[in-house]
Amino acid sequence: MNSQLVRIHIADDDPDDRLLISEALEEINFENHVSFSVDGQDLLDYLLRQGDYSSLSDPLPDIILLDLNMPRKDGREALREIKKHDQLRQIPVIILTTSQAEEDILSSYDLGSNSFIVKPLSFENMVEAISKVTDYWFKIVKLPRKP
Amino acid sequence: MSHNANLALSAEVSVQTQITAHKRKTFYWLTFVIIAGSYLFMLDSSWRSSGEFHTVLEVIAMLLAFIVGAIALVEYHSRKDVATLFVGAGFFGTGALDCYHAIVTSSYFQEFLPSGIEALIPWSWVASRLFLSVMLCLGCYYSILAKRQPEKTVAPEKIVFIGTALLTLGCFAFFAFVPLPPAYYPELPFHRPEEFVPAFFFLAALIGFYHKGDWRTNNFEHWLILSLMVDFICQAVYMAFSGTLFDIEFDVAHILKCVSYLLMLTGLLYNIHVSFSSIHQEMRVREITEEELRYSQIRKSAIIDSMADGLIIVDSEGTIEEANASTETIFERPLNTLNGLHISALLPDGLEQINTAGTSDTPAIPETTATLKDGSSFPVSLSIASMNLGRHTKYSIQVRDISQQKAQEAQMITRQRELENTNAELEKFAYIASHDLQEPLRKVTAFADRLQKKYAAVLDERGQDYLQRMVSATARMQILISDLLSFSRLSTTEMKLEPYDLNKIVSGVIDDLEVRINQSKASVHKPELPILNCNPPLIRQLFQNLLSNALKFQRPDTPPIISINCENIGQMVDNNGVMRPWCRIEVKDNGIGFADEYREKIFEIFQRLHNRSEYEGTGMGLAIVRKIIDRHGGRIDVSSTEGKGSSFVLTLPLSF
Repeated sequence: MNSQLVRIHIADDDPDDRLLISEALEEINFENHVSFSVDGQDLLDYLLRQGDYSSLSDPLPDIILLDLNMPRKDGREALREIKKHDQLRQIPVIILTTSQAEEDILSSYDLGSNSFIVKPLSFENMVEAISKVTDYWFKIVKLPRKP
Repeated sequence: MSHNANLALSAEVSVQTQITAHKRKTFYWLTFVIIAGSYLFMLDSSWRSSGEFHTVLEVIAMLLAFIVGAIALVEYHSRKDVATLFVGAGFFGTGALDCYHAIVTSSYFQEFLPSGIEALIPWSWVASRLFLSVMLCLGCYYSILAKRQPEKTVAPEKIVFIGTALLTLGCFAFFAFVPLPPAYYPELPFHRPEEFVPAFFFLAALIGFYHKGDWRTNNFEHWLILSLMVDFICQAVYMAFSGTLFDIEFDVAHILKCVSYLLMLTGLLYNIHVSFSSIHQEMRVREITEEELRYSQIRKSAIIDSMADGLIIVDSEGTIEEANASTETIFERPLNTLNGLHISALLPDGLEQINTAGTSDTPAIPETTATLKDGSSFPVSLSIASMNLGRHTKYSIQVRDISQQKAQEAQMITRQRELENTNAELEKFAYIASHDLQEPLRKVTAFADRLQKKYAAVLDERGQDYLQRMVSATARMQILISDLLSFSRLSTTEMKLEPYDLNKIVSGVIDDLEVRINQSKASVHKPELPILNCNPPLIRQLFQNLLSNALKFQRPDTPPIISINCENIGQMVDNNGVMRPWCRIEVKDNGIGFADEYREKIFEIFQRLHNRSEYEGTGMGLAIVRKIIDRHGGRIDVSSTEGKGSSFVLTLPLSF
């Protein structure tokens, strides 16, 4: 997948967390495409090219990092809808959230998330996690070709 | 008294009886020999007394006979012993005949009677003796019959009395009007052969009573035998050989008759003595019993009326017979209205309750409802006992008003539920709080870290120092919140226990701490550990905290030596009420130890004994350890010597 730039989309309501994730991506010299959503509804609008994004012509993201606890529409709902949608459900969704509650882990996998990561406490660990995630999904794992 | 004691006592009694019997037998022989033998000394005597002497003797005999008769009949009337009936009637009749004999043989009546004195005296003597001997014989017969078949034998009272009266009167008439044959037969060796007939009957009675055997134990029969013996000797040895009136044999026979009557009287008087003393004794016993009964009644009334619970006595149909004062208070009905009332008026299912109680052996204490006159009901606790009084069964019902108790119980349950709710809320709060506190902390740490990495060059030394302190502080806070979160989770999570090998857990912990162990050149000794019934991750955390502490609080320049010991301490009940084996595990170190006064404090949350610069830590480690132990139902004890080391002893449940 080196010819094309890969696209990573992050949905998180917390601006600080959005900043930290970008900083982490910066640390690992991620030169690929990064986009953000601020909550579940925003994410779906973006993916479905509706609402504010009706005129968007960018390709769909290759992976989505999804926070669970968001206002308006939370990550769980968004996950459910994504995994129900014919075109969207092929996109690997990685839950990246503060909660480590068993019921959240279980329900996320139940709804079809591809993996579950608890936001590391230290920035150093965050960098390490982001590095591993991008390595894994973009260098090791085979992703489907986009239509 | 025990069976053995009873046997011993009866053996003792029978030995006594044997001694008495032996004594009596000897006495009989002696009596016989002496009295009968004395005749040998009188053979050549030429003694002659007078008619007056004879009359005196007969009057004495008659009085004695009447006395004996009267006493015997009175005794018969009270005791219905058949022998005494015949003795009584016999002596009474004999008394009458002796009286008759005395009168007709006295000088005053000579002219009026057909026969001469030589025939009259002997024949009227024979009549009296024959009557007595036959009566005593019959008495012996009926006595033996009564002994063999006590229920079937009925003393022929009417026949005896009527017969005696008729015979006596018949004798009177006979002697008054019939001329008598001669009484003396000088040609025969025994001059008065007719005397042998009463002698025969006396002997028969004697033998009969002797064989009956009661003379061994019964004093009356003993004296009766003596009397019969004397009678027999009187007839067969003396009177039969009397040659003329008023000779020695004649007089001795008359004296012996009086003696035999006296012996009989002695027997009867002895009976009377025994009766009187036993009456007296019985009266004493009755007095004591009555007094005890009175006291028992007083005690019973005192107890029953002072009872706080109601006590109701009902018959097997459920009708109330008695009730105590408290029943009146509990049911708000006057006592006099309760007697005769059916128990269902007070306890709707009362009859059912007493029937159930009647069938079970163990006392039942059921709870049920009682009703007041106005129909309102209240909860009561009953204690029912059945009283088997021979033909009837009664029941005693103890009634306790438990409305207050029930109300308190309900209150307690409500309060407990409230407490549980509060607890649950508090724990949830602690969990959420610590969780939500982590979020801003995470940001602060992250951006401080970014600052340090990207903008350290811009800050001067002091600025960098400030930044570093901030970073350390937030790091500490993160550990604190993380520990707090673990601690609160310990209370909320469900404890799932499983059998798990402790060796694996401890080895795992030692591996985790490998770096620190090597750094401090510590040595950890662990024996073969058992399989616990536990929650493995929690136990892991427990040992992690303990061993981590042991490594942390080492004496400077002394490599830590940690030894773990384990011993079984037998069976105990665990948190779920299951009986299982338990073990005691000791974790001992040679570190800095602590003063004994802090023994309890070290387990408290956030408590530290040293300040931050000496030893790092949040003061949560041991609080978590104790919480884990608590949730396993075990206990933890610690002993320590400052400067020498500490020993932590845990009690934990083992798998089966």
